Parts: sequence; structure tokens; C-alpha cells
Amino acid sequence: MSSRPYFNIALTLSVILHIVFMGGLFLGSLFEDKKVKPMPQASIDKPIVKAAVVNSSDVQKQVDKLKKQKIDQKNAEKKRQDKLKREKQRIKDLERQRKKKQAEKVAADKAAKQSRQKAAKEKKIADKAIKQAKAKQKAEAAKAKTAANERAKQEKAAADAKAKRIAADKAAKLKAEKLRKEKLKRQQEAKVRAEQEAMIAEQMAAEQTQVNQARQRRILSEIEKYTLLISAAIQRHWTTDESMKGKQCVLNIKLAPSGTVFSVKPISGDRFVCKSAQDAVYKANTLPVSKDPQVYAKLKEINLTVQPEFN
Amino acid sequence: MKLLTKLLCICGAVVSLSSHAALDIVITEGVDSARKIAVVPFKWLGTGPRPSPISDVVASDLRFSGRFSPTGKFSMPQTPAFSKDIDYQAWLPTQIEAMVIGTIKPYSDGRYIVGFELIDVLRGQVTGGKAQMLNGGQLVSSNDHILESRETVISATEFRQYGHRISDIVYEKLTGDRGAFRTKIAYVLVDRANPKYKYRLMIADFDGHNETEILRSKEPLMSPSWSPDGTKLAYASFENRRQQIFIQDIYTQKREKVSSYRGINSAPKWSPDGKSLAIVLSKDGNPDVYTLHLATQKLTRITKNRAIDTEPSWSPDGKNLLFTSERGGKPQIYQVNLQSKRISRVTFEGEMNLGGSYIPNNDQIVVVNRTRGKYHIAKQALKFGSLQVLTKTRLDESPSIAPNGSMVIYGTMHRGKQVLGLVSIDGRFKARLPVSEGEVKAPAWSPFIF
Repeated sequence: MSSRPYFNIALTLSVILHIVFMGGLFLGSLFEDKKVKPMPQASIDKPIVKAAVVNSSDVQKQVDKLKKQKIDQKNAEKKRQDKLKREKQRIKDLERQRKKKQAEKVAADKAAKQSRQKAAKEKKIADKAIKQAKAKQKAEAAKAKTAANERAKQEKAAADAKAKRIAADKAAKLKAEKLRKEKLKRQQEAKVRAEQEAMIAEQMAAEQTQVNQARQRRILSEIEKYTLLISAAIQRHWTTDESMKGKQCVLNIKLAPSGTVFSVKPISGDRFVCKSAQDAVYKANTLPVSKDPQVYAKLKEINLTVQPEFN
Repeated sequence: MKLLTKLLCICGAVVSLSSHAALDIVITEGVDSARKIAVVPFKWLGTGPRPSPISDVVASDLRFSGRFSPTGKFSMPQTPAFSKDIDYQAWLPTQIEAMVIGTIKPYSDGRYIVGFELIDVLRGQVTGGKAQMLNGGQLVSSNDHILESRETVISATEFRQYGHRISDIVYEKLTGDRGAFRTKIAYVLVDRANPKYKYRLMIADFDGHNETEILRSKEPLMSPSWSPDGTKLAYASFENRRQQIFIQDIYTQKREKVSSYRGINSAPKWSPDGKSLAIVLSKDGNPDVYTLHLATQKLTRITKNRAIDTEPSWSPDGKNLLFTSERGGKPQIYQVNLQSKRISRVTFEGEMNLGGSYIPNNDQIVVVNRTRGKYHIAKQALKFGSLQVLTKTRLDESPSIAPNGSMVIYGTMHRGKQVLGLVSIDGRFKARLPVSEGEVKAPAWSPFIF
């Protein structure tokens, strides 16, 4: 549609150029005929008449001069020939160019015709295309509309989704925050709890220690008590005598949990003091023993030292 | 590393365990009382009348020592004659430590076989009388609860003596100390009812049995003293109207006058080596202590004081003498070293202390102590000791100590009569000795004779 003005301009130009070339070719053919006529006889006749009488150097000089003239003639002839040749070639070229231009003009006409046809065809096609395009446009508009609608819808959906997402994100963030806070709180709580537990544990440990100490004290006091009871039991049965003065004995006593005497072995000391103490333990038969296993554990083996004192 | 720590821990625990394994108990006081013992009446295995009860002698002896308390027949759950018959569990409640059981069988010629066993009842209760031990790689019955088992043939007159023999064995087995039950006492018997010989020098078993007259006299006899070998007696006699010191062999009756100085010749005491007598002489004025070497008749003056020094007594090592002196005003006990003649006062408690003598193997002395007008036998440590009164009898005098230091015999007043009292050195057991009529004075305990 838009290429049409350029097409007319191009056609006009090519016609003008063809005319100019054709005129040029005609003029050129008129001048060409005069230049082509040669006159070679005048220059050859004159040197031959003078040569017979002169010395050798002059002769030579003359010869050389003739030779040179000859060469020059030859060269000029060659130049003319070349020029002619070139002229011929040029005409040929021009003819060829004219033919070519003519052919080109025909081709151009043909092409113009073709292009005109083509343009019409194209116009038709273009119209059709426009039509189609319009329809298409329409359809597309409709389509676009629907698309827009769709898009709007989509966008809305997207927006919704986005909103949703944002909300979700927000919620998630909130949740995460909440979680984080909770976690922090939990951690805090856990920390506090741990501290409390530690404190409690410490207190409990302290209490346990106290209890243990108390228990230990109790065991000790129990041991003290049973030591006294055992001492008393043995003492009650131990008959001493002044003959034992300054003597002593160490006995190893082993007791069953019931207090029954397992064994009484003298470790060191005076034989008779040992015997008396041994007899005392045998006589006691059972010694007072705590039912508490921990207390018993401390009582089950006794190193009894007897060293009778007299005043 | 962990393992090492563990190991260390275990080691530590083991160490602590072992170091805390045994509880240490120290007892410094027991019951200061006699040990319970049972002397089961020996079983008569013959026919006819049973001979004198030998077990009574043993029970009595052991009781006299103060260290044993023989249980009565009726407190015995059984009266076994052989160790195999003993029901140890039955004896458990009796708290009896040891038991003497035995048998008497007729032998030929009116003699008897006496067998006895000394049983460690507590040990028997532990082992059930069936203790075993390794001997030559074989378990054999060790019978370690049977402490002694003997059989002896004796004549009818030896029953008491053999009883004392058993007592000696039991005593030594159970206490570790030598028994003094076969020792004798010498004393002066004053029989005012006897018109001619009021004064008699007697010897008897330590328990007063088997009295034998050594000498009779119309005039007072005083302070007999045994020679260390137990064959002679030294004593003061007024038989010649003045006091003189004689030595008499108790078996041969041979007498010898060893001191007849002017004035007092009294309180002879045989030195532990038997070579000298410590005597009191007043030939130089006041009574003073001298030693008389018997072989040479050499007299050595030990004390020289204006107050009365009397009642010398040899230390067991023969290097010192105790004596009673009034040099401090009232009679107190002093000790003099025979070498240095250095004198030191020993007793301070009470108004007066008299008649001191050393207890063998024991740095203690026995004295007659007067406190608040009452005379009692007392003992105290030689140095820095407080006085312990042993007797509760009246007007106690002239104590003499058994050679093992376990008993003291002394003169005392009972129902207005002078008798012999016996007290164990711990003061636990007190007895009056059964003697015939008359009053008994100045007892002297013999050395070990057997």
C-alpha cells in the first residue's frame, strides 16, 4: 500500500535514463568515422633520397634516426591500432549496454506490469488481510476482552492469591513469630524451670545431704549406742582380776546380723586376759546388733581391746 | 583412663572398706568378780562307802582364791563324770566358764584311782565338744575344750592333798598363775584351857586342815617364819623366861637358838635366799632392825632410831626391808635399802599402819591399817598408791601372804576369840579358817613346798 509511490518514481527515472543513453549512443557514432582514416606514405619516402653521400658516423646517425623514426612510427601505429581497438570495444560495450538497457526496459516494463499486477494482487491480499486483520482484531479484541476479563479474573485471583499469600505469609510470619515467641517463652520457661529445678535439686541435694548427714549421725549415734550396748554386754560378762593389771588383749569379733557371735579370735595380748575377754564374749553369746543393715555393717566386725584398769 | 579411674575408685572403696571394716571398742572395766566354775562331785565308781569327797576340796580351794566362784551342786543342770557326757547347751544359761569333772575308782591295797578332766565349757559350747583340727594332713578331733585330763593313784589319806593338787592344776590352767593350794601355814595356838602347855606352834594346810603340832611351850611363842625351802621355822620363844629366837626343822624337830641378846629378840623373818634372818633387837636401847647371817652369826644393824623399829619383812629380791616404825610419832611402814641403808616412808593413810609385807610379783604391800580406831588388813601400791582395805573383821593383825600373792592369812578377833582369817588379795573372798579350840595367832604362810 505504502510502496506504490516509490514504484512510479522508479519507473519514470528508468525511462528518462534510457532516452539519454540512446541519444548519447547516436552522437557517438557520428564522430567516430573521421578519426579512423590513416596516412602512413609521406614519412617513409623522404629518408631514402638523402642517404648516399655522407660519412659513416653520419650514416650511423642517420640510420639510428631512421630506426628511431621507424620505431616511433611503429609505436604510433600500435597506439592507433590500440585506440581503434579500444574504440571498437567501447562501441561494442555501448551497444551491449543499450541492448542491456533495452532488455532492462522490457524487463522493467514487464516487472512494472508484474509489479502492478502484484501490487493489485497484493492490494487485494492486503485488503483481505486488513479485513482479516480487522476481524482478527475484533476477535482479538473480544479475545483480549475475554482475556482481559480472564486476566482481570486471574489478576483478581492472583491478587486474591497474593492477598491470600500475603495473609498466609503474614499469618505464617505471625505464626512463626508466635512460634518463635512461644519457643522463646518456652525456652525462657525451660530456663526458668531448669533453674528452678536446679534450685530444687540443689535444695534436695542439700536436704539429701542433711538427711544423709542426719542418717550418718543417726548411724553414728546408733553405732555409738550399740558400741555402748556391746561394751556393756561384754563388760557384764567379763570377769576381771587384779592379776590382769597392766595387761591387755585385742580380740577380733565377728557378728551375724542376729548378733550371734561367729568368731572370737585373739589378735594380740596376754593369753589369760584374752581368754577372759573371749569367755566374756562367749558368755554374752549374742551381742546387741541393730536391725538397720547400715548400722549392722559397721558392727559386724569388732576389734575389741580390753585393758583392765585398777586403782 | 576411665577404667583406671574406676579401678582407683574401687581400690579406694576397698581401702575405705577395709579401714572401716572393724569397729573398735575398748573396755577397761569388767566385773571385778569371781569366775563361775563348776566342780562337779566326782563319781564314785566303786562299791561300798564312798571315800571323802575330793571335789569339795577343789571347790573350796578355788573359792578361797577369790578368783573363782564354784557353783553349788543344786545349780548344776547335770553332773557328768566324763567329758563325753556333757550337754553343753544345758550349761549355757549357767554362765559357767569351766568345769571340773572326775571319777574315783577303787584300786588295789585300799588305794584309789582318781581321774579328772578340766573342761572349757564355753569352748565346748562353741564347738559342741567336737572341734576338729588338722594333724598330719588329717582331721582329728582336737578336743581343745578339754584343758586337762589326768588319772592318778592315791592312798586314802591323800584325798585332801590330791584335791589341792587338782586345785593347783585348775588354777594355773585358768589363770596362768601358780596355785598355792598345797602350801602350809604355821601359827601359834594358844589354848588357855590346857593347864600345862598353853602355847603350841602348829602347822596346817593353808585351809586349816591337817593341823600338826610342831612345838608346845608353857611360855609364849611368837612370830613363826618359814625358811624359803619350807623345811624350817624360825620363831621367838619366851621358854627360857626371856625372848630368844630359834630355828626348828619341822621334819626332824631339831632346834637351834640363833639369837639371844639382851632385851627383845623378836620378829624373825627369813631372807629369800635363806641365808639370813631379819630380826628385831633392843640390845642397843630401842628396838631396831638387824640382819643376822645364819652361817656366820654376823649381826648387821639396819636401823638406828630412837623410836621403835620392828616387824621387818624382806622384799622378794632380798634387797629391801619393810619395817614398822614409830619415828614419825605413830607407827607407819618404812622401807630400808639394805645396801644404802636409805629409809623411805611408804604408808601415809590412816592413823597407823603396821606389819607390812611385800606381795610377790606385784609392787604392792599388805599392811594392818588403823583408821578411826579400827584395824583392818589393807593393801597399797609401794609407791603413790592409795590404800585398799581388804577385810571387815575386827582387830586384824599379822598378815601373811601366800607365795603366789593370791591370798592373805591373818589373825583376827571373832566372838571374842582370836582366829585365823583368810582373804583373797582382791578382797573378794573372806573366810575364817576352821581350827580347833583355842586362839590362833601369828599365822605365817609357807613358801611353795611342792
